[in-house]
Amino acid sequence: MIIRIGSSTRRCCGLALASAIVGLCLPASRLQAQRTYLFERGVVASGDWLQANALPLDRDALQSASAGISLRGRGWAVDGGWLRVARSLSTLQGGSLSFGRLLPWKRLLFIPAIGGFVGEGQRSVDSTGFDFVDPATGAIGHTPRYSHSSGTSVGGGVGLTLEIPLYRFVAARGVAWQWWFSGSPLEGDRARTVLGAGLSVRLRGGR
Amino acid sequence: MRRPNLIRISRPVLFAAATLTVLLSCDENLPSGPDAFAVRLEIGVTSDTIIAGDSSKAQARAIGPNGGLISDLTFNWTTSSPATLALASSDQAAGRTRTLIAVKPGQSVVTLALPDERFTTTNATRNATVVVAGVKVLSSHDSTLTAVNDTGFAIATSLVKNNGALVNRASQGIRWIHQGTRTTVVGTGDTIRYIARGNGADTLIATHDFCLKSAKCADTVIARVAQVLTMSLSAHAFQAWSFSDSLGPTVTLADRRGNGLAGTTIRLIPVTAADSEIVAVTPPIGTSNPATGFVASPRLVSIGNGSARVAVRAIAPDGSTIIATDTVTETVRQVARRILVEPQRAALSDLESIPYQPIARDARGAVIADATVSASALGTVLSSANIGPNPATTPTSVATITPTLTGIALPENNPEAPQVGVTVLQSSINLIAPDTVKVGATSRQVSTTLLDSTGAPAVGVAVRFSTTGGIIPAPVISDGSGNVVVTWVPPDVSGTYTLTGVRDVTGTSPLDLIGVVVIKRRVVVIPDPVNTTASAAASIPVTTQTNITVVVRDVLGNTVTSAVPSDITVVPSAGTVNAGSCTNGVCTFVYTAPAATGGVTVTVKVGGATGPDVTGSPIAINITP
Repeated sequence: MIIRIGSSTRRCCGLALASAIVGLCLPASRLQAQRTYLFERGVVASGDWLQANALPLDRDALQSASAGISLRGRGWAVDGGWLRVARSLSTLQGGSLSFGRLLPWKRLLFIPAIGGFVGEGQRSVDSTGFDFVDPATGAIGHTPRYSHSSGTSVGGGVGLTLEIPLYRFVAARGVAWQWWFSGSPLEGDRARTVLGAGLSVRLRGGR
Repeated sequence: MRRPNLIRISRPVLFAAATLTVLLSCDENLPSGPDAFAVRLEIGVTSDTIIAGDSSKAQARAIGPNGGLISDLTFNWTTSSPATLALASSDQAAGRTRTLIAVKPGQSVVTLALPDERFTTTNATRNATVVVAGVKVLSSHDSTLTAVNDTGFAIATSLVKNNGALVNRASQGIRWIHQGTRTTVVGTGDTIRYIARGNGADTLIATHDFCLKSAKCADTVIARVAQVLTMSLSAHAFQAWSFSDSLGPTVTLADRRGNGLAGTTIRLIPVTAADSEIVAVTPPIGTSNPATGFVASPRLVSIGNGSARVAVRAIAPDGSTIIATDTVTETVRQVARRILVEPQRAALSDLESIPYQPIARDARGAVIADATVSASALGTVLSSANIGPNPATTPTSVATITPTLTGIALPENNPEAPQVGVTVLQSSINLIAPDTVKVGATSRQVSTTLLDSTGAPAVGVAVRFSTTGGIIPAPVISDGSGNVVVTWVPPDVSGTYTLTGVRDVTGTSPLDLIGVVVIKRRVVVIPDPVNTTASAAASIPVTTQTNITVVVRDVLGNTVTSAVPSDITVVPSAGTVNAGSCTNGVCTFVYTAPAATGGVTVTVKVGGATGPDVTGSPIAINITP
């Protein structure tokens, strides 16, 4: 099946992602001008692009991403936010909540965490397509036929976040998570591994 | 101060929340469908024609939108007529290929369906024809039936496949074509009956509506009908006791089943010329009936006594071919049923005679020429073959002549003939005494009766007349009693005249022409003696002469100018009279007196010496010295 991606859809998704990151960062830069310490306490906003291990995304839709607010202190972090895991034939998005341990090492901050997810899962499955043989060449081909389903999904996962402060209240992040999701649309395909990168912005608190 | 900070913090959060809301509303564009694919189904077979008993593989093909052959599909196969073309049960479940089994000749539509909701398609169909590999006649290709309604059989079979070899198989739908009308065909299928209806040949063609194109798809039977006819005669010997008897055999010309043949004829042919003198042959009598074999045949008509051999020939409808020959014999022996003397009735003057003939006739009235019949007369003279003449003194009376039969024509001399007594018919002849009429009153009515050969009045038979003088009477037709009456007027001239009447006859025998004179009537015409006067001198000397003058007159007193001296008879008692002469009715005789004197009388008569004296007779003449 050929997925037709319209230009309006592409513009919509790009604009939304950019606006989210800028919206989270610009006000903070105006409010604080601090030194580049690890973000071990306070409120940190973060945004990640999580499509690194699933490229290309063969459809016209917003790629995997997450955005959230993290409350950090006393060596722990509680993150809450929005998570989207997009694949060519599935999408999971919804709210997430994770608990992580802040492990600073030199100028790096490691945050191993476990998390939970509640949201919606959607999936298209080529369950009724057919194979064919080209009578001229003898080559075997396949024509897909997709069935789409959606439903509530609850998931859980473990992950590791690495933050490196870049400038005063901005840090770069690297994210790796392994998620498992429930829900009938994901029958047989419940695990998702996401890799990505993003930025963290300390909103308040900390040195 | 606190309020501006709160505003500064909550504004980007609200902005981010709004942005997420926008993100959540973006279209995911996850693929779905399509609902169905349009595919085209095809049935692949090596040939649409399959020989019965053989099988063929059929392959199902589903052509996708991009022209590819779609794999892993399950097809449904059906045939419109499983009795003609069946599907093998051993093929794979997916139905990618199916074996078509040709069961029986005919046509069947093979339908391929794809019961898969993913695909929209139209069933593929293929017209498959099951054929036979040939037609063959098993019975005789040429047969002959020898009788109408005889029955023959024609058997044909179809060639079909069995384990790769061609074999005969019955009941595959042989169709027969019947050409001709000599037989009728009963039944259908491999075996038919043909029934002979008429001579000739019909063609029966065994064929099949579904036959392999290159095969021998027709075979022929020639059904011939050639009736073998046998002639049978009801009898071979016949006996006729009368002429004109029609005899002959009833001829049947039929085949073994008793059926005849229209157009056949029977001819009877006397073997020799002598046989043809005994029997004649009629045209065919009756109507032939081919259904029974009866053939209208001629009859033999007896025309002569003797024994005749006659060939009987059955002739074919072509008019010349002799189908059968036989002979019959007919013996003809006339036996008398009546004997008679012809004429049976007649009017005959005494001094006249007429021929007569004693005749024996058979039952059909034919004269028996070789019969021995004698006649005995009572009251008349029979002289040689004539009745009469009788003496002039014979009074008017009725004479009879009786026939008597002896010899071969008697029934008792032919024991096999019907012993019917012979009828004897006497002949009655009216004898008429001499008749004299006077000049001027000569008319006479003459009558007689005509009888036929059976003695019954002959009605409507003509009597034709001839006469020795005067006007010949016109022919007279006998009335209902057989009577014939004619008025005859002899001439007013003295003399003897005869009227002869001869009846018409219808018989063909020469003897039939004898005895046909039924009237022979004579009259003598004389002057009237009263009006005729004679005169002479009263006295003449001896040896001298004087004239005796006679004026001849008729009954009306008119002078008979045609009178001649012979009309007058002059007789003197002495002396002589010459022959006389007549002029305009006045006759003069010269009388010469004798040498002796004395009285002499001269008698003058008319009608001869026995006729009456005329007025003035006798004349007294005194002979003087």
